[in-house]
Amino acid sequence: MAHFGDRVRLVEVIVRQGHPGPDVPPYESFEQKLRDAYRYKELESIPWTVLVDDLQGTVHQTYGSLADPTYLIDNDGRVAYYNIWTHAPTLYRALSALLAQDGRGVVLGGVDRRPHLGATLTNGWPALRRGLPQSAVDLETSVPASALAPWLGYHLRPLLAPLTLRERPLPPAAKVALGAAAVGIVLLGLRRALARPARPAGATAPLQLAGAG
Amino acid sequence: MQLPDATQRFTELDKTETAERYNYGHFRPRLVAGEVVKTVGATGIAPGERAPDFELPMVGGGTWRLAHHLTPPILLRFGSFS
Repeated sequence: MAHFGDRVRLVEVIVRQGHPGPDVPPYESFEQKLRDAYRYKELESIPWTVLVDDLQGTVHQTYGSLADPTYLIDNDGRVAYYNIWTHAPTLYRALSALLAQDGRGVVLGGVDRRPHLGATLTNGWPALRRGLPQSAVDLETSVPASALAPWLGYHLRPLLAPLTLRERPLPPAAKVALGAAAVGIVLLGLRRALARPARPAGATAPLQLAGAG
Repeated sequence: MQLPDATQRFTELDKTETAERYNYGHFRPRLVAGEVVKTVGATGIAPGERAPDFELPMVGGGTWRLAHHLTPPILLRFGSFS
């Protein structure tokens, strides 16, 4: 949100361990949580304000206790926009709309429920890595491939980041081009699949024939 | 529909999770299901509603209170170390 400079204040509240593990056990004291908040700010070079919720997560629970939400709060202290799964380009649009109406009122319909997981896919691995191996085992047994995907996404960061970590919304022309490319890939895959000759029933695999000879 | 105000929300907190349950030891499928339900229901503070005030310790020292920093607009994010 560097584009907006001092026209917005970014504040982050550190909540419970999302993916606990041997080195990041569930918090049993506020001091543990405070220590992690300091480590987080230092390790990730966070320039914005970082706050620490209490052990019970009072503020987090009051605000819905979701995993990765961001609220846009207007100059009257009211919720202008609720981005349930934090997505920088959507917040960019919401903030632009709010500033255009003098910093007050609800914008863009007020709430975005879409599960924006692109940023997590590309940048979520460092957090998940802190809880290894338990964090990955727990994730994989909850949602298959949900630990593998961020590992892969993190290593493909140079390729994915322009799409998944962008701050501004994609221009319409880029969206059309990406949509066309996705449709093209699907059609190409279908064409290859349909063009492959079907093996007659009862036929023996060529490899087995070679081995038998 | 009348929405509960901030004071009511805070007084109802004893109906929410305890510290022990809130700080779970393992990420489980029930948490995924809970996130889906809360996403669909947009659990939290509704647009247009006053954001409940709070004061929390700040990394670097001191405390930060929402009501003292309403201008410029605030992006309030909730995140985890892991």
